[in-house]
Amino acid sequence: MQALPPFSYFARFPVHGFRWPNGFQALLVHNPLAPVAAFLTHYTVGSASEGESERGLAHFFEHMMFRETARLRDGDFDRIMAEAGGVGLNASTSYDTTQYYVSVPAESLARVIEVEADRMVNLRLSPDLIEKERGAVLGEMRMYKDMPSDQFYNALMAAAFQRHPYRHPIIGYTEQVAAFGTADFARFYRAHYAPNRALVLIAGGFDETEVLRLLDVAYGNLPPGAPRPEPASADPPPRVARRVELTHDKVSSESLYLATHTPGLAHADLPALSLLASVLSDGRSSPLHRRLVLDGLATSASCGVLDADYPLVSPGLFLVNVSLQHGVAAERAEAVWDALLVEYARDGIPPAEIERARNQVRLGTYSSLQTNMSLARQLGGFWVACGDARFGETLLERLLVVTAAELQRVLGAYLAVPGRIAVIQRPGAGPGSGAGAAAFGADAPAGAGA
Amino acid sequence: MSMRILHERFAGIPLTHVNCIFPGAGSCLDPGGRRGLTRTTLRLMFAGARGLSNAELNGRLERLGASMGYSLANDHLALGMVTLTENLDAALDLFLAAMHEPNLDAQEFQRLKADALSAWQADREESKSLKAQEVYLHETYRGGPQGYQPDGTLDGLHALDLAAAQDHYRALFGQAEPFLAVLTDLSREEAERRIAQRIAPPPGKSLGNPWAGFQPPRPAGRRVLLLPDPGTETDEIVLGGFTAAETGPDWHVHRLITLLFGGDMNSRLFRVVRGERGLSYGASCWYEAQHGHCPRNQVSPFTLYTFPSAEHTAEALPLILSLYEELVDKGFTAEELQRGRETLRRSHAFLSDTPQKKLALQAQEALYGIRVDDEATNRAKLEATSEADVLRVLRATHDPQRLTLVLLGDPERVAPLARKVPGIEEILTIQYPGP
Repeated sequence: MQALPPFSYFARFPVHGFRWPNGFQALLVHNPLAPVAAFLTHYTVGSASEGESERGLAHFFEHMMFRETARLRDGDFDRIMAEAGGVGLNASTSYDTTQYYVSVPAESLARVIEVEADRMVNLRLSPDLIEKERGAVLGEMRMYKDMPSDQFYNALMAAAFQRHPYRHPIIGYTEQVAAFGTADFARFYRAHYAPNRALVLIAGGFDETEVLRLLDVAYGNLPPGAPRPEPASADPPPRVARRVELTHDKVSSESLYLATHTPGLAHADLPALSLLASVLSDGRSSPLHRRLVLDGLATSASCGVLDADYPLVSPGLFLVNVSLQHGVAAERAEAVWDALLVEYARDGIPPAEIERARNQVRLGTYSSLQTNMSLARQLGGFWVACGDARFGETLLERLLVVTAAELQRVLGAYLAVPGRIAVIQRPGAGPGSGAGAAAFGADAPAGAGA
Repeated sequence: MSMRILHERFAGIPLTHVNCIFPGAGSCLDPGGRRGLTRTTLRLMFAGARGLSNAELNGRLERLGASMGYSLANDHLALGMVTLTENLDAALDLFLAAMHEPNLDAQEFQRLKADALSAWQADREESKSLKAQEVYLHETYRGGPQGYQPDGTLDGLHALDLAAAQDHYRALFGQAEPFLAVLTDLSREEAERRIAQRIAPPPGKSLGNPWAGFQPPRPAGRRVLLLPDPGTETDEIVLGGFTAAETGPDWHVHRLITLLFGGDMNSRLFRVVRGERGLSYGASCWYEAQHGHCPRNQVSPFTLYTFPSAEHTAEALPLILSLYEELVDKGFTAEELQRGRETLRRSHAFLSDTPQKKLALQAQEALYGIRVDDEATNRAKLEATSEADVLRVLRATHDPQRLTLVLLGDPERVAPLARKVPGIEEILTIQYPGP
């Protein structure tokens, strides 16, 4: 194995990286507060890696990784993790990555490494277990269907991306998920799960020499698979505005998304865009909060840069999200936003707003360093998105020296553009609630017993 | 004069978190008919102080790299601030302004009231589980102040007025002696000098303690509450009843019960409901005190929860009841129990693996008198727990025949399912006043 250049994350957490000849990589993050560790595996596959007939397969596959392997029967994996003292065992699928994670006592790392490496290459995909898991996956999809925010977000992504796979819901479409067969899973496994598609992060207090030995034994000799496919081509930013309106029978107030395309995580303008998001909406005194929430139009208003928030491999969106007060039309928030952009483009951004944003970003960044798992997530997320695990620290350094002129320039270049996407969710007609016999909310005397 | 301080040091992270914790000053002090008053009062405190407007006060604070807010439980509250340590003194001055000199003005109150009403609705439109669990707690506590959510009720929020919030502010902080919980890169001595010696709690007066002498209501049979929600894709099943308190001598047995029955992916509920039958995305159980819904030194409800796809509810409802009955009847196998012991023994380190958690343990002891077992005691108790012990505790504290069951779903579909539940004491259909 080859040692990668070491670094110290935020001058506090020593990080030692290693790469094996089969392409497997590991980052060991030292935080010796306690003899425990976060263990996180990133695979460089997500919903954006799926073909047209595979929408939802990356997520469904993530579920199957907890079933059986050539060595472990169904249920053994969860049992071993539990007996190892694992807490927070879970996984998540995103656009560009699938993460598997658990926190364990350092004494259990040997067992975790063994079973994680096992399921990387030895998974068994039996039709019986696929059918059982399909029920849970379809149940999860139906759970999201009952959430108005999910349909709202899906409408945004479908409107914002016309070709790029970010337009599809990560969880996929019911018709396809209901039909995936064993061959689909087997093909997906061969194509995307291999040591050269994985990064293991271990963050906490542990013996590095011993952990390296264990990683070498478990992963070092696994056969490499196909290389990571090139990401899909980015959609060109729209030249004209796109507007989508939808209704939902279970919402009583309106919501608004405004989005414009960004140049991507590695672009030189990304730090300025991130700081601009903070200038506009970070804190109760931010201009967006003042003009929408404090002025009584909205219950919440926020901005973000999806590229850094997820993080994303392909260029993403600068996003504004507003939840309106009852009876307030989304167009009023849109007008406030437009007026704010005009004002800032014309007059510049007040220095006090920039000072607030810089310090709020520092506060948020330092707060995110307080657990082993959040450290592992940060480092791994940026490694997947741009190949630089240290990018979170670099981004903060660059962001703190962004000037007012740069902010004004990126505002004009990326926000005040004609090709803006607006998505509005409004209350719509729907079925009413049933008649009842007991009113909810009636008080009884304190300490009443029966 | 200095406030009592609990301190943990997080060296190398240049932040200071200050929480001023007020035992007894929880949302259970909301007056009947004005549920949500405590939360609205706290929000109002941070919405302008010392003559500074909301934007001015928070603008000054945020430019320092700080923010402030509150957390509210049923039985206590915390006023909190986090700041870049380099700006601690200036940030603390603004935090003290919010604590002692809030404007409590009419315009902010009206905005916050409208905001609370919209947010209350929106939260329940987004989350059916919030509605189902809200009704479950309310009905389990039979409408007592112990069973309400901190964000109140729709009627309660409508009834709020500024005078009530101003009166509540003047009384709220006088329930019991407050204390500070401080997480910082500063030493204890410096935290004492720069924080504890500067903070004094706001004045207040006793509003009584709804938890004093609390006796858990016990239904005579199974109370079934139907919560109509037409057209849902998934239904909600929440059920349970009062069982045990964390202060009891058998709490380690209850931890085993929770873990093995519905505490993780390897538990019985999860394995059967999701793993073997694919009826729901999840199935779990917990003690409500562990979720912060009631004081940890009180007897708390043990709750079972699942949310099956609508077409699976007919199978999931009797299944979850029968699994609970089987648990209380037969307990766990020796193999299951051994697994539980291993899990709780090995995961013990996670109770105190970060400075935040160590501080939370100190606060828990200060609030409830509960001290977590050290590693050796934990191990000894677990190793001494037999299958017979588990069965004894289950039979003494759990009663699957006397519980509250909330069933949310399309009324035409779920009402017939509810009527098939054996041992029903009563079925009520809830008229939920929101979405």
